Amino acid sequence: MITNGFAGTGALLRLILRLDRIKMVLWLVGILTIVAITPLSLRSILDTEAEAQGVTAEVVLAQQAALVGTNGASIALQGPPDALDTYGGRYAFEIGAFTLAIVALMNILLVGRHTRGEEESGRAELVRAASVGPWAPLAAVGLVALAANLILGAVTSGIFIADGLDAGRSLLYGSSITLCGLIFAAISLIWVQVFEYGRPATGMSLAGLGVAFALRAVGDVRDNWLSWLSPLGWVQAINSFGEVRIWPFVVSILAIVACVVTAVMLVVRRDVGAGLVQQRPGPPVAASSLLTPMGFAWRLQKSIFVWWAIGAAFLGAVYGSVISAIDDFVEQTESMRDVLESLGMTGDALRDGFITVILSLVALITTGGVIQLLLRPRGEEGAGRAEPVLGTALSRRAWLGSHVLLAAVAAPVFMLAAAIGMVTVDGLIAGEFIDPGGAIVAALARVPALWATAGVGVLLYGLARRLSLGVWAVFMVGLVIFLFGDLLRLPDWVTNLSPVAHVTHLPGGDQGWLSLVVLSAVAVVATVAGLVAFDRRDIETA
Amino acid sequence: MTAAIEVENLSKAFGATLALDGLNLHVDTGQVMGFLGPNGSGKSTTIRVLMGLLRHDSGRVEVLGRDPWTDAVGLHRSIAYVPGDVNLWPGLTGGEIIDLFGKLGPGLDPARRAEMIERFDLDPTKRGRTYSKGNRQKVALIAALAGRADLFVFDEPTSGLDPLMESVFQETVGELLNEGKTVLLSSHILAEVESLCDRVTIIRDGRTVEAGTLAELRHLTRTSVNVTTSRPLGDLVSATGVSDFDARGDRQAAFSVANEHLPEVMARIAALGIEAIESQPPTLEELFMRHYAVEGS
Repeated sequence: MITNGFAGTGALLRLILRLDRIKMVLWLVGILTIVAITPLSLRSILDTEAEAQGVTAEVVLAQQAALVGTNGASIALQGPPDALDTYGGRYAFEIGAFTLAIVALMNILLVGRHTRGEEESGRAELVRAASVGPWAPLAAVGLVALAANLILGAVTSGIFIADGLDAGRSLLYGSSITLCGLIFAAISLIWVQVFEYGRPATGMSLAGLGVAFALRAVGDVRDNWLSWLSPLGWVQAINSFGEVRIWPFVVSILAIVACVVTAVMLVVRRDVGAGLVQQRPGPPVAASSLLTPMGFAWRLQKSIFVWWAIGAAFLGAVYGSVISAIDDFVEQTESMRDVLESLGMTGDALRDGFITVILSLVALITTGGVIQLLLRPRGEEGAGRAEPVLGTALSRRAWLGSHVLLAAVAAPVFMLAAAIGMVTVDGLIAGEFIDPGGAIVAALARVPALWATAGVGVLLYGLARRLSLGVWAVFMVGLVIFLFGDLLRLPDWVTNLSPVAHVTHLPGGDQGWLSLVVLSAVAVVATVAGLVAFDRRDIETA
Repeated sequence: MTAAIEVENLSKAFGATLALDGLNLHVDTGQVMGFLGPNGSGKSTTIRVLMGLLRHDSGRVEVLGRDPWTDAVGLHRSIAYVPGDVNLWPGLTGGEIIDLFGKLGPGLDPARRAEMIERFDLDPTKRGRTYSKGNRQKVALIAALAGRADLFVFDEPTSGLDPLMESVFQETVGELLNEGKTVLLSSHILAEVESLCDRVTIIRDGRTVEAGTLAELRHLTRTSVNVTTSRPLGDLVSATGVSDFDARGDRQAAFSVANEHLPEVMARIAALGIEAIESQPPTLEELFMRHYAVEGS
């Protein structure tokens, strides 16, 4: 029988708040900025359009509802096209599943950082040796997650109420965001018990988020039950601004309770520092393939590389599965065909447009994988593992270069995996393969954009270890511009900051080859400069 | 005799913090040099400069006749380095890591590798993440000792080892010496330094405060004496070289004597008629305490 299982929770809670005071504020401000900007910019867009047409903004909202509700690419990204003729419904759609996924990401990383991350470093042992109960670390991180998600929900509700929306529905929508975050925090609490190390635990939670996003994307586009298998689908099914459903609310809360109870039971069934999945012995001598700089880098990066490739193929497959639905939709809807023809477009153009959007999204997401591979040397240096390696006859340039090369190879591999996944699944569903080569060329055309981002990463890392995380800013800028660029009506020079934004016309349009050459040149110059700079700086020690 | 390590007037600052401030270090080929100093005195920073991992601001640094910053790769073919805090890759086994360091470094002698694994009693099939601190240290030591390096740089290499492994380490370093290898050993374990090192260099606040053989250093310190004489001690308290004088009655006292004044002081006491005397040469601990303690305290 465990007594005082929660002893020390308060102290740990304050410790987490102290450690994360900047990180969590950035997350919350970032997410809430997206939420706050949406009503502002949408209102202004609608008013401008209404003035031009000489009608009220509500009429424009209703016009757009019909159009937005038939856009497969938007639905796949953002969620079910519910209540789009209301302001609240439209806001919720624009904020969308993608923002919910970012909320989930915040929670997954938060939980991983303060549970497994702490145990792995051995710091948890110090903490648990003090007067701290076995559940205190979980309770502390759980309370921080609860507070963070409540703030997100409350401020979101407040923003919507301030916009003049119905208070009850606004609160309902805010609470759906809170629930979404808590579900993923709770799921993560389980994974961190099962795995002994932070990386696989966080990896499983992220994979779960990917599957949840994919399920609801397919379910929403095809308007079927698949969405209801996804926690993201549940919170969107609440439909705060249309015909409100109560069951997803109940299901979400039950899921949170079930996950937390499971995690609490698992904690006391394992030793501190140990996982439920145990380690097996390995080879007593190294294979010759490990003993080259490249082989060594590959060994350290293999699992990340392979999982990202599988993830990219999966992402491509998910979107590939809805391409034929768009064709069907156009064929079945006479008015849609008329609209398209009046614009001089065919079903093929719509199809190509969808693939273009999807490939840009895949490029943005897999940039994350390329950055992760690229920043491995940063992690090695911080963990003190770079020092003994660079104390051997391995040159700095060969050491960093082999990781950079891996990241560079990863870009086309990830894009190809996604394109092949997409083309294959679409072909299987449609019964014929429509221009697979075009999709593959279009996928490869996005590779220089990934390389350019990677090049910036090498340069920053070469200059100083602490700068290297700045490459994530390039990633985030790309993502925000892609998702909200139209909504924000950003000037061109801002949009041009996103490498991926330079490749938007394939398949089906003319790609400016010059931009691909420029992006590649940026990548090469930045990489070389980074490698040279790395030779000239101090190696940091743990 | 040629110099394996030649450091003159070495300075290195991290931002506003001056880590090394005119440090000197001289190690001859075939020598085991003890490198001592309190925590934070700059030992690891010096070693990282010697390994070409840090760039020094000023002064002259030469290792095996090369500049470690511009010629790190060539130099590292002849150096084995064991850092104080060994972090291993969680997914690689101990055996794989030993081979990796051997291959990337000065090369590995397979027979010696097997022998060292045996002597250090390491299970090479375990993954890096499952080794204890001592075992992580052993992995790095085996990788270094089984290699074909000429210069061995150890930064507190035995901090996690049990006494048995500690003595294995001392044996193997003794063997290195017999083979004519050079060793730079940074350590806080004074017994280890005493039994292994020909010479020691003591640094504090990034500066060399003492260098020489242990016998020379001992000579520079003090012997403690507790004496009872048949005649009163008189003004012994003010004799040159005597300090920490603690009178226990007028015929008994405890005090310390600077070693260079020991002969005169002993002659004076002898003239007073010794009834009982205890004298203790400085222990190594006292030797180092003197240097480690901040001036004036």
